[in-house]
Parts: sequence; structure tokens; C-alpha cells
Amino acid sequence: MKRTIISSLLLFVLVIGVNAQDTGKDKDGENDDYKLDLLQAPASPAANLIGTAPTEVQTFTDPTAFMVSLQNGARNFDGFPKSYAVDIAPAWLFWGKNISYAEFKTDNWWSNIKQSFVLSFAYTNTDSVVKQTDMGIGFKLSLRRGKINSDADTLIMRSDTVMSYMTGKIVLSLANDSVLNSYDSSIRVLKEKLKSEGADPDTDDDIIELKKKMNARIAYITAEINKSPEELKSEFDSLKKFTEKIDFKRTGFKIDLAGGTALKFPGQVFNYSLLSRAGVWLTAGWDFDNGMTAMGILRYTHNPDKIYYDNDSSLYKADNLDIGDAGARLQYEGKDGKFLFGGEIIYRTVLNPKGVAPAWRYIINCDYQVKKNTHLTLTLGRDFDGTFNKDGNLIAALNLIFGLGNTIDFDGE
Amino acid sequence: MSTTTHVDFYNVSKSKSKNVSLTINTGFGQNSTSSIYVGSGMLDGGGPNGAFTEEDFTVDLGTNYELNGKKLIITISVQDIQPHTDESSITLRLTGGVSDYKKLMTATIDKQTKVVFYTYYIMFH
Repeated sequence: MKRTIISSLLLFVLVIGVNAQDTGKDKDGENDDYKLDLLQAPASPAANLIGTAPTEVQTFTDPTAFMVSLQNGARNFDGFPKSYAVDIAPAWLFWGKNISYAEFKTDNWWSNIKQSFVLSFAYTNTDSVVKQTDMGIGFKLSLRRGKINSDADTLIMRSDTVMSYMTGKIVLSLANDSVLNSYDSSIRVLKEKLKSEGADPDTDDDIIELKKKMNARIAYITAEINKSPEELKSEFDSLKKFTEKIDFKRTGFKIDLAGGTALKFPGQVFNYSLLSRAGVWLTAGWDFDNGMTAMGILRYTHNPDKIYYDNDSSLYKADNLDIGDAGARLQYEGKDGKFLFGGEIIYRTVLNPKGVAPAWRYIINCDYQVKKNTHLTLTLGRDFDGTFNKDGNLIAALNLIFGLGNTIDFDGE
Repeated sequence: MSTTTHVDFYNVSKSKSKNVSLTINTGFGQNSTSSIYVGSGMLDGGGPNGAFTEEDFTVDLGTNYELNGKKLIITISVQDIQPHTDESSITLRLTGGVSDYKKLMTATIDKQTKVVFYTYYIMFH
């Protein structure tokens, strides 16, 4: 039997291993890999400036957890950890009880600044041949955050319906509970008696004891109601489902500002420091409901003691190298998150020293998720190339591998 | 599921014209729903099952004279909707009586049920 197997077209896709391509790395040490998020302000400015991985950055929502982390990191305050990175949102950490949901939802300037302001701190010690400590301090805030999507509001309303059933049931049970009512009567009589005797009811032991019993009774009744599986299990399940589904993705006009500075301490001597880098990012643009994003960025970085190439490819060393970037990004992401297409372009100019020609960098990226963990990705781009001014287009990445089909003939057994 | 409770007195005067007002503020940007029982019945908050679905609101409870000897029970359910915190807080304020009253309670929301209940039991005296 002659059997023909046509080996098909294989279209394998690799998720772009951007880090495997050194083409994207500038000579000033900045990691300008072929990612579409180059125009994004860093999530943690301090950690970004000294090269700490974002996963190592700790965040806290209550002061106790913050102190415990510091204590653990510092080995019970016996010393300093080798590296440490933390982002603190003061409004949430210290004044969270003053932030209402309405204020969280709003997009006014003051609420945005207050809630989004993050202080970023990171340091790392290098204990190899040359000992050095790098330290970064930064900040990040949103001036405009956009509006919360309507799906979240719908889920909040559905949650309210479920919760109102629970709270109504609890309140009525407490109001009609004979034990609680008897405590209520007793404590009032006692208070009246103490008042007539001129004693202070607030410090009376019997009053305090009765209040404790009432608190315990309220907690007991609430727990009993919530334990009744037939009645409330489905309510709890619904509430949990709604809570997990709520996604506060914001759309509309957004403005983010971030900045930071990095210092190095050669020899880990803390009375002698050098500025190693400083930068400020301003991003602004629109996130649309349909998945389209249009953003622009202005970025300024200050790099002391940098080596650079001039227009004649001659190597120079600058006391201070100041770089300005201006860029734009347009991106479309499909509703199901499987398809992404976008491009970004960045114009770079050296503000100081003079005499270095500006450079362009652009990139177009397309990503399609064929199935889970399998992406079809195409990236085309042109780098700044060289340190600052190198001509030539390049294909940054073409991660399409076509396994072209062939025909194999089998003769029968 | 966790419960946070508070029992206390609130002193009222004999005024038949001055109202006592209740204000509730929910912190940490969380969502909340409140049911209020005062005197001998539930207050209608206009939401589902008569609840107050706003996270911050003020409501008149009645005159000092009317409230004397009665009880106020408020149960507030707080839902953990914030991705970056499990903390919650409720601030209760009573004004219009003999003096102003404020009580802040805080609780970490249960990760399993995503909800915490606060109950205030106030006796007007």
C-alpha cells in the first residue's frame, strides 16, 4: 500500500526571547531590549535604576508588616541585608482608612496623586573583588488615571445585593435576640444606678463585663447565621465569584510621572558617594475600551562619567552625559488578550555634550497566542545602534520557523 | 469569615427638635453595604433589601427625645475588592446628642470569603 504522508507545514513559534538578542543593548549600559514597554515608566524607579529585579521589590499595606519585613531583612536589626528593595505607597500604608471607594474610583488630580504616589527605595551590595554599594531612590505617581470600566461597577452592584441580604439578616437577628435584649436591659438599669450614685459607668467593672458579653453574643449570632450552609453558602459563593472577577482596569486619558536617582558607594564607604544615574519619565496617553492604546513619553536621563561615540565614531568620555528621549506608542490588544499588535518610535537626543547627532529607534511587534504557552510572534525594528548614532536597519527578531512540508512515500508492507 | 463588634452608649438630650445623625465611612477603598436597625425597625437605605449601598453616608436617626432608651444596630459587610490590600476600616460618627461620638474599627479581610462583618450596637441613653 502506498501511503503518502504529507508532513505538514509546521509553524512553531517561540515567545520572543528578547534577552537573547544583544542587538538591543545600548553601549551606555541601558537595557533597551526589543520590548514594547520601553516607553513605560518603570514600575519601581529605584529598583530599575540599580538593576534590581522587579520581583524582589517588596510592597506593604500596613505599617506592622513593613516593620516585620525590615526586622527580618536586617536580621533582627543586627545588620543590613545584602540587597533590599521596597515600594511604599504612603496614602495606603498610613492613611488607608481615609480612602473611600468613591475616592478610589474618581479621576481627579488630588485623589490620583495622593493614592498613586509611591516612594521607591532599593540598594544592593557587591562583595566581589571591588566592593560597592548601589542605592536608588525614586518616586512614581499618576496625575490622571482614567476611569474604571463599567463591568467593575456592575459586579459591585451585584455584590451589594448579596451583602445586603446578609447584613439585613444579621441585624434583624440581633434586634430580636432575647439574650442580647436582656443584656441591653440589664446594662441600662446598671448605668442608671451608677449615674444616680455619681459613679462613672465607663470605668465600672460590671458595665465593662456586660459589654464584653454583648460583643461575644453579637459575634456568636453572626457566626451562627453565616454557618447555615443551606441559606448563605450560595450567597458567599456568589460574593467570592464577583470579588474575584472585579478588575479595576482603567481606560481613558492617563498621565504618569516617575523619577529617581542612583548613587554608588565605592568600597562601601558611606561618607563617599558618586552619582551613578538619575532620570525622570513623563508618560501620557489614552487607553481605549476597544483595546487600543496610544501613549507618548518624555524621558530625561543624567549619566555622569559616561563613554560615548561622537558622529565620527570617535570614543569620548563625558563628565556628564544628558540624554533626552521622546517617543510614542500605538498598540492594539484583542478583547480576549490573544492578539496584540503595536509599534513604538523613540527619538533620542544628547543634550550634553553637544555635537552628538540624534538617533531614532522604532519597533513593530505582533503577537498571537495560538494556544496556551504558545505564541506566534513577529518583531521588526531599527535600533539606535551603536552607542548613539549608527546607521542601518535591522530585523530585530523574526521568530517564525516554518517547517515546510514534504512528501514521503511508503510502499506497503 | 470574621466579625468585628463594638457595644457602647450614646447620651442623648431631651430635645424634641434636634436630630441625631449617623455617619459611616468605609476605608481602604473597599466596597461595603450597611443595614441599620433603630428603635423598632429597619431604616430604608434605598438599596436592595433596604440596605445602604454607599460606602460613605450620613443619615438622620430621629430626635434626641425619640431615641432615648432605644438601640441602634448597624451591621456593615465589607468586601475585599482592592488588589493591593486586604485591610479594611469603618469609622462611625454620631452627632446631635449630648456630645459627638466617633469610633474607628479596623480588620483584615478573610482571604477565603473576601468579606468581613462589622457590627455596632449603640444604646441611646
